Amino acid sequence: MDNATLDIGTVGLLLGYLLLIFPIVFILYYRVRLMKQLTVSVLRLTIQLLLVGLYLQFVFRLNAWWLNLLWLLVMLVAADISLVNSSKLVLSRFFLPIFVSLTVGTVIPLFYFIAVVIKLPNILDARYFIPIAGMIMGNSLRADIVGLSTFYNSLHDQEKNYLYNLSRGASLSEAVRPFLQKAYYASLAPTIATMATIGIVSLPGMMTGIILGGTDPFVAIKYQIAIMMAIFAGTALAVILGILLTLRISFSRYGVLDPDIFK
Amino acid sequence: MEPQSQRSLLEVRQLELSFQDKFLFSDLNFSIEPGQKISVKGKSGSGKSTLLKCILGFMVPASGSIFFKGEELSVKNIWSLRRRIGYVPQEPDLGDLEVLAFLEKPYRYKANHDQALDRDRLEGLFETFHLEKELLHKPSRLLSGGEKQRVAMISALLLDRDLYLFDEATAALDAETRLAVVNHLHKLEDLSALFVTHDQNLLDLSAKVLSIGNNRGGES
Repeated sequence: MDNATLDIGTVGLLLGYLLLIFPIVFILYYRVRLMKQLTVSVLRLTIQLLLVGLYLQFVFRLNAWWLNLLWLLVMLVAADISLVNSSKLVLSRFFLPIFVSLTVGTVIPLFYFIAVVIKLPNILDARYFIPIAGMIMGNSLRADIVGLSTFYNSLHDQEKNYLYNLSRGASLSEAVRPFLQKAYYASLAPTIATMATIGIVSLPGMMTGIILGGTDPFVAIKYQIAIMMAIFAGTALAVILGILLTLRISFSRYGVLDPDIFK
Repeated sequence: MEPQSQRSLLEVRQLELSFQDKFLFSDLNFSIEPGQKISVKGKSGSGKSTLLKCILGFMVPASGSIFFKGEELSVKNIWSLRRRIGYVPQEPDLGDLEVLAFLEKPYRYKANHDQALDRDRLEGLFETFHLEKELLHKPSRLLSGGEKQRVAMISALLLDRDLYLFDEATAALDAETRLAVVNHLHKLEDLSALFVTHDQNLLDLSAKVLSIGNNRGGES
């Protein structure tokens, strides 16, 4: 098996953009208001990835533990801001607790994956550490957004039910429990469904990447299984911690949801 | 501030309420003695429901004090005091559970661990309040407004609280059922209750009727 992945030439890459012709034609024909968003997003995707490519080349060459940790910190901050803003919550109040929940939800499965599962001698090796951190965080971010926003939005929408349960003797943790269950279900169910169809409906990115890199597909699936466990564990940790750590700042001491937490 | 009487179950002193920056009333004073039933009436938007929410600690008054058995309501004791108050909201949101599960739920709360659902009493109250037993296995969401009110009342009564707050609790009931409910409440001599109501039957059984409106509270 040839170990080198075929490079994509500049012309080839430009031809890749040509596939956008299909969505653009339909978007314009049916006047779906997505053109501006699409243009901005494709430009951002290109610029961000180009910059990251250059940066990663530099980071991989240097392979300094402090720089790798710094990069993880940058990713955590970016994910934190994106999560809080997408959940339509006030960043200044949620930044710190969500940062803690994301850090725990990333660092535990990340180091477990690197140190215990693949037993890498240098756990901060950039070639493993950075892409795996990115995979765990990137894949659990969407679930984290679903979890946090479902929790606070359903509490807001069903505040009468919540207060009524307080009046029937529930403590704060007892009264929020049904909302927590709902949020946890909403955030974890899609990943559970994905696990059931993986390999049949889709070949995930990591596995595809490793196969394209020339590795034996059987090694690729072992990586894929382990990374799915890490992603799921990371999501489960980040969502539950994200909710539990923000309870104190979201309710008055009388147990009433503070309306000022919403943007 | 000290309560005027240590014996009063509930004492409201010089209460001033606002809701979303709108001034509602000031200088509201009243007390409820054990076994006493009193009513509050007033135009819609005058602050009647807000008053009940203040007693439950869901809202903080602009000024004034509320005492429960001589203890001033504060952030320190609200959680324990809430467990001694039964509340029936105007439009109770019973959630998604089946009616029986809804009625069982509060006994799983730590605060009510010393209590257990009394099935005989439950069935008796269902009959008194003109509710079919089959309703117990119906999802709460599918209940009519009147059925929800009666189920919420039954839930509160079964929990044996020291004081009951009823917010227009008979408003969605037909005349015959309303009378059955009121008669039952009337028979419960030990029941201490504050009714927010326009129902003449409830007003008639009340020892006192407070009028809230014109930005002041008073007895009538």
